[in-house]
Amino acid sequence: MIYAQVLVDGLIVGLMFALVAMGLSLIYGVMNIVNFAHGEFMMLSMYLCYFLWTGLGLDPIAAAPVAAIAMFCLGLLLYRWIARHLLGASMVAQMFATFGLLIFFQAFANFLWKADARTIGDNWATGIFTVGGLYFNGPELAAGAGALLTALALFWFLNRTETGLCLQATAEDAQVASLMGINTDRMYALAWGLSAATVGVAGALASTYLAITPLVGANWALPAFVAVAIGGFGSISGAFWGGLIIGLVQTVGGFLTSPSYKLLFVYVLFLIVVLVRPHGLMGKR
Amino acid sequence: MKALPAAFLVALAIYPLIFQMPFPQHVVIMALLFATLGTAWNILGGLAGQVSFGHALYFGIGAYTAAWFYKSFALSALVTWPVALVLSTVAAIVVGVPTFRLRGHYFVLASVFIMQAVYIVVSNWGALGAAIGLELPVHRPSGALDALWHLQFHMSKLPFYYGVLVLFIATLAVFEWIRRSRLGLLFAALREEEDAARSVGVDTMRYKLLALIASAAFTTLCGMFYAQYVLYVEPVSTTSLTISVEIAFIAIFGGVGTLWGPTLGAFVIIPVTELLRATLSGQIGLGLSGAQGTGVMATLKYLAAGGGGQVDILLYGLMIVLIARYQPRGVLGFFRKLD
Amino acid sequence: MKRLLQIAALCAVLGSGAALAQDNEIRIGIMMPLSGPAARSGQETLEAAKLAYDIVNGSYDIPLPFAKTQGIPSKNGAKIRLIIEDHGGRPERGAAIAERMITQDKVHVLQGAFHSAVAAPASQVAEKYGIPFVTGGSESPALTERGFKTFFSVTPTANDIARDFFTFIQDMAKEKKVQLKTLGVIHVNDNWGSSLAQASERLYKQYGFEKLTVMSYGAQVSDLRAEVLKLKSDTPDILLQASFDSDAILAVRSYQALAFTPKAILAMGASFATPDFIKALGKNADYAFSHTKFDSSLIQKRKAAGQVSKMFEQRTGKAIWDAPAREFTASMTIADALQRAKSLAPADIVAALQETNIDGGDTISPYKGVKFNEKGQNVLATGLITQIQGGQHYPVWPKELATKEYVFPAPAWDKR
Repeated sequence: MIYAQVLVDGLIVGLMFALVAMGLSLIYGVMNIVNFAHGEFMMLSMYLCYFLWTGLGLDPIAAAPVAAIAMFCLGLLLYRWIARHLLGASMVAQMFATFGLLIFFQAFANFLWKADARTIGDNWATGIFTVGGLYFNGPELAAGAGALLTALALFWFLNRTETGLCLQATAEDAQVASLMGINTDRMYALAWGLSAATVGVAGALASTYLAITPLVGANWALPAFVAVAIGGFGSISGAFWGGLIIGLVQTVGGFLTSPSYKLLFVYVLFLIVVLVRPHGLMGKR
Repeated sequence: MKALPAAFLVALAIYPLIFQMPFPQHVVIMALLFATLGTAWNILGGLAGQVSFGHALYFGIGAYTAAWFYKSFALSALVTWPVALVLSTVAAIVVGVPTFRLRGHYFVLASVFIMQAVYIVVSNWGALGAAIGLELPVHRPSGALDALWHLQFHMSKLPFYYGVLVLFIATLAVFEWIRRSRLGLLFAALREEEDAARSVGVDTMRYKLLALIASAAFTTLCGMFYAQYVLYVEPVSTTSLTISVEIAFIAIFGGVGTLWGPTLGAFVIIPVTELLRATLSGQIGLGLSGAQGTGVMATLKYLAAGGGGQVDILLYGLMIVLIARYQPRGVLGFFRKLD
Repeated sequence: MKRLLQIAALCAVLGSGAALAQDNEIRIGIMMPLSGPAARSGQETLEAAKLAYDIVNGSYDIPLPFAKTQGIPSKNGAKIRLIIEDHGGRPERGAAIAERMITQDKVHVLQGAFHSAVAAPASQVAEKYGIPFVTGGSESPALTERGFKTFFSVTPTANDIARDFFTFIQDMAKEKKVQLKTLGVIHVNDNWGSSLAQASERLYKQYGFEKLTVMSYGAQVSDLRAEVLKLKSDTPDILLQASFDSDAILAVRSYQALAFTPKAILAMGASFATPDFIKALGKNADYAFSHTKFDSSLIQKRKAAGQVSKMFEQRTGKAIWDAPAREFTASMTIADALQRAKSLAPADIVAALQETNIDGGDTISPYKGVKFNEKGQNVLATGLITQIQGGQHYPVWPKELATKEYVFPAPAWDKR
């Protein structure tokens, strides 16, 4: 019975990783930039939801759309001010810049809100459901469901709308896309906005049960980077499946040995996958 | 302009004779240590073009080897350095062989993930003190030879200062020698056009490994120095991603691939952060409101009270973003125009 | 250009350190984590020290030694000046700060450092220079094991805390006739948390447990479900815990969510006794025990505790708690030694510290008193075990400080 519990938990956290990983993969696919500050969107979104909760009594799940829009704008801003200038820059310069953003955002949060953690108390999702001996924690169940829905929405957007297809075309080959009349600058901006927005939703969902600190984005989201690397940079569906795999591996591995080592399994899995397939399971060449 | 480096080295040599208080000496010792670390990193990162965020592994190997042997057998780094270098080389090969097959971002991320994995292992490893770490016992030397054997000099920092200075100069020398040699040309080929190099038969794996082994060796020696100097080794300050990033950053900030870039980076960042921390966080904590609220007034009050020491990191982050945006070649890029 | 930067930076650094050494003042150098994850606790602990020295320097109507007089009477009323530095949790900074305070600021006593990993190298430096180093809150037993002449720990160590826990558990089990087989320990994987695990490993068999299961987690964790699932599968009867404030809340939520019910949860430190904890968990906070060195109930048994807590609240917005209270007591201990010292020479202050014998009633802490053994450990240091009942915490052990009966074993989560 407890193994079923472990698998379910793994799937739920995997869905959250999947959502975060997809956003990261989106930017890479379109611009060839790894946004090391990706987790910080999640952190900022969580703080936003926290303050909406304490200030306006807005439930985090209801705040998810608000967080998504706020993060979308932030993503656009960052693209305009910084990311745009990184196109074609050396990999080192790109890393330097996004890492600098990471440090800046963490220091910013630390400065304004200090390092002690905040938690959101009882909200819509609170509660425990028992189904056949398995314990489902309301907030985490809601997070898993929300993550799945958002992931599906993103898939739908990318594959069934014209803008989404333009985005994919830009990712495929920016030069050709631009020759075909696609405004690549707009596509890049959109990628950043969407990426930040999806992570923002993840943050809102997570704020119902995770502790909010300036480092929560960086710490929690690191496996999402592994997920993208395993799934293959540039592949959104790869990121999705990568996220699920990571969630399962982490929870099961941690349970079988000791949770202190749960991340170790994730990193070892990464090494195994990239040894066999250096571009990840479904990555762009 | 050519005389500047020579003048700099002379200034470094006589500095502790002029500034005899321990703290100013300490600041320059740390700057020299990080300049050495940055230059060592640069062998792999700048010359061979492989950006690694995993160098704290080698730093940690040096620090823990020195600490463990000293604590267990009273054998200082003077004796145990070959052991550390062997471990470092083995680690370099174990890490390098699988990861050098990866390209671009995959390699960088692999170095991050390996670093995190190492941190998890070290902070749970009982023999190394796990999260608590290892404290090196203090030894009151009974004479000059005894002091040298234990690498403990009671209150004098001069031996440490000149020790790290020698290490620094040696690392610079090796860096420059590699850069100007045929090996350096091969590294440059790796860096700029790896596929082309491979297609003409260059064994890229072998050269990448060489670069890593050299880079790791000096990093490990720095780790040993750190352990003997601070006398306390624990995972967060020696074998964590934070340290890896600091090392890489000092090199990138100062100017990747240049001889003096990391040194410039270290000598700007280390004294400035020490200064910022000391002045901005020294007299704070007045009238803190314990509530978790914020708001404009609370923030302004907080700022007025000195910002609680976070301001230095904030400025640091801001500085990095601005430099990345406007001068991606690093601080040295500003000075290149003078040449 | 580089040289100019260097020289400029160093002049500023030197300048900031060169204190105007006044004649009739006593300088105490204190180092705390004022940035990084422990910043908030570090700042509040610092405030307590500042408060203590303000009380000493000024004239207040509080039943504490030195409150009514101004400064240290035997030293011509010399006032205490606190020199403050942030070490940010880094050991090498601790050592450097200690050295600067000794050689440039010419402090008479060093105080700190909250983190044991920083106190270790810092006190090594102090020992070299012969300057006394007093810690109010660094609980690692290894610190006093070193047998330094100049190091003094006012606080009980993790060994003492574990011993308190085990004694109490044994008493409870005997009284309520409950069989205890397995002990679980969950702790944050840092110096402080690990010391609880180590002490438990040493003592569990002595106190009648057959099996021990230890679970650690990295600091800054955001999710503990995997850890709790694993812990649950070992079915520990009793759970000892060392967590920070946020982890504590996360942990108990996970226990409830996964229906993990040890017969008792005993937490080291204040994280299970904060108002935030009780507010966040509601009735799920009940029945948790905390080992702390300060509780508001002490106001009844320690005369000055109430006034000091109020003054602390004026400065920080919250009532005094465990870590700051300990630092306050450490500061008063220093003042006491300064009074008795033959002169302000380091050796005399060290000698005075070695002869310290303060009665617990003259402090705000539950200690029986302050008296150091030859290794510098306060042998009269004890803690207090409190339990949360009905959203309030009450001291339940030791008997002479208890105000309520404890409840054991704890009822299941859904039966509250």
